[in-house]
Amino acid sequence: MKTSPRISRHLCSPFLLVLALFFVLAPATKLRAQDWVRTGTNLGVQRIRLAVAGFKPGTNDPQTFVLKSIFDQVLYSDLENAGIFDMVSKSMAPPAMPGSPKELVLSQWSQPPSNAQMVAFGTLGVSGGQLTVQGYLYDTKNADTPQVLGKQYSAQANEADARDIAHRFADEIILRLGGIPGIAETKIYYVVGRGMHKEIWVMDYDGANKQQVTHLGSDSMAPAVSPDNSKLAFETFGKYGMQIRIYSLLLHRYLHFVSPGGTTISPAWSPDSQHLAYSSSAAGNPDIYVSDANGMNRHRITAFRGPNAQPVWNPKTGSQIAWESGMTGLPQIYTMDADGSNVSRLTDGGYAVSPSWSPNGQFLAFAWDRHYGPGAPGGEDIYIMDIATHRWVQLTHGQGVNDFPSWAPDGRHIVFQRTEGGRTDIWSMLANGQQQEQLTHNGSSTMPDWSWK
Amino acid sequence: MPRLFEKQERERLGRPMVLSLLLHVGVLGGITLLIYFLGMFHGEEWGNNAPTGAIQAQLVSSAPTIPLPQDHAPNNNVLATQTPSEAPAIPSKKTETIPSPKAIAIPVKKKIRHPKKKKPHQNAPQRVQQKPRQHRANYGEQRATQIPHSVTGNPTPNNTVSVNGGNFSSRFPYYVNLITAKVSGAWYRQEIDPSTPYGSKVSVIFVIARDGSVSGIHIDQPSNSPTLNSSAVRAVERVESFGPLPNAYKGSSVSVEYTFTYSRPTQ
Repeated sequence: MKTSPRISRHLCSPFLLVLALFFVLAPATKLRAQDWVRTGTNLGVQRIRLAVAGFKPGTNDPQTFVLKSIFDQVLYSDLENAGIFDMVSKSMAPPAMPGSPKELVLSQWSQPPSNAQMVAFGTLGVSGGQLTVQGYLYDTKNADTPQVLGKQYSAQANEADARDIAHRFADEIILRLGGIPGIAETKIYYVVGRGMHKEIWVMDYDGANKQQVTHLGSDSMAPAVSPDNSKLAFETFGKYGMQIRIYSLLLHRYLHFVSPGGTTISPAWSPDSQHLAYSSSAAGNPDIYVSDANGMNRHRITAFRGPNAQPVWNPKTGSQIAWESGMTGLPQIYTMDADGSNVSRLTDGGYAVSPSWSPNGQFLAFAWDRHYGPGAPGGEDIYIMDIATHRWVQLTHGQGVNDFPSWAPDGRHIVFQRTEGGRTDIWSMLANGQQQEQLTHNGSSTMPDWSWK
Repeated sequence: MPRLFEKQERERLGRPMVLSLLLHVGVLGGITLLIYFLGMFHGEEWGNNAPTGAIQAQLVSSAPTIPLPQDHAPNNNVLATQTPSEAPAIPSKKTETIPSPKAIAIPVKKKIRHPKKKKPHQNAPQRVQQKPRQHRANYGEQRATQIPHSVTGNPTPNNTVSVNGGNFSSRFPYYVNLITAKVSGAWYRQEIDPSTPYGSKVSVIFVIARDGSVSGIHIDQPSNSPTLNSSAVRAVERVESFGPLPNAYKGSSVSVEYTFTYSRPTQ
């Protein structure tokens, strides 16, 4: 039987080929997705006990030993700061320094006193000005397939790059074992007052590597880095009073921004980096405005008596804004839709300022003095509130005056400023109030803003 | 002089009007008297007060005006009728044959009727309630999963893997630990109705894709508490990502059955 040329042309048409491929491949994909895991809440949840072996020097270059100690220290502190590991202290860890999987004896780490479930190890060497790091993460209790992670990094042999590699390796481990990206590579922007002026500075999340960003010789405050890490918005005192300026972190120059006039302060980026919300008294009363990133298409979204300031977008949806308003006297925290509708009050009294929205959109962190007034008990502390239920938790307790909380992108850390004994510094902590750590020590660092990634 | 003219008109109409009225009254009175008297004497003249009737006329289509000769000869029999009735004939009486006294009756096989035995009354079988065994963990009454259990039991004492199909759990126990921890952390017991009995369980099934994203969340075995069921689904929905699947794992996704147990809160 002969097939007519017309039919054979149809049989060879691309559509039919794709269709045939679909039917051939569809069962294959289904077959592959047959791995099942069965688990539950009653099985207990523990922090993973993690050991970090000192990295083995790969070369005899004198710089190797300098960078190795920096690398080891940064890697350990990054993993400890993550807040999801039960770290094996260095005194408990075996003295071994395995450089490769062949040199690793799993039982050495899985047995007491270290009792580690996971061990991170590797080699670090400098040759010809190049730093090369090979890092591994092994499951000590899984003899068959112990390797969880194997990475190799290469960079210039200097302290900053050694720190950077340690941060990146730590973030990989945190992502693997914690399920969400770590924050070791994130930055914190903050304000440093020196003499008569205030400038914007930036530092690593752990307080290292501090660098000055602005050099305006003025009062520059309230930094807000865009979600794509490309722009920095802040308020600065200029010729026309307090105005917003935008600094490009990629081009290292200032970008054009049409400020509405009046006192314009506290900029906040929308999650898509396309819009800014800020407070401006251009129309008399300080109200919340929303505009494009260059200041165009400005429109006012609040019209309440009293000051309205410190807007912050819901980073998850981008459809809500929280802000502080003095419409009933003392400032309180409110939320509204991005068009100004559906206004809802969150705090029921006291003095509540500086809202910061958690990355998953579920919580608001803010500074709250619940019993405001002369002689009232308590002070200004950091609180977080579940927006859906209005339940709140106090994170700091009676240690100085705490303000300007800002969430880390992992949703597990909060950075804030604390004033104690006339000195104001930047602190970070876990979102449950634990592991409070001072990041600056100059006594005049304020208004921290944690980068989005 | 309109007044005067009116007066003259009234005087001219007055007498004929009175005469006319009197004439009409007289005629009416005469008619009334006539009717009265006629009524008094009508009984005798109009036939004994018989009820009045009316003459009825019936139109027939074919009036036998002309006496035509008949089709058949006239029958003189008085009882005969041209239209015989269709009444059924009277059945003839059956005559019973009297058996001869010498005849011997053919024996007929008779059915022997056994008297019914009374069955003893049976009560419904008593179901024995199984008593929960003491000092033994009561696991949920879950149906057996249809997956092949190639590996059972915990591969390591510290990992919370219980059962798996395939070897994912044994190869990547840390990832299973991660699933357990993340879902458990996102489960809010406040959402559950406090009247839910402790030990209630709900199983949720979902799929983790290569990039760690979650899809296909649905309840496999619901509990009796709607709030527990919804809280379990919400817990899985809250986890945006479990992180990428292990690099060494070649599959495209992993299916997870997660059992939420509403247990007594630990103090």
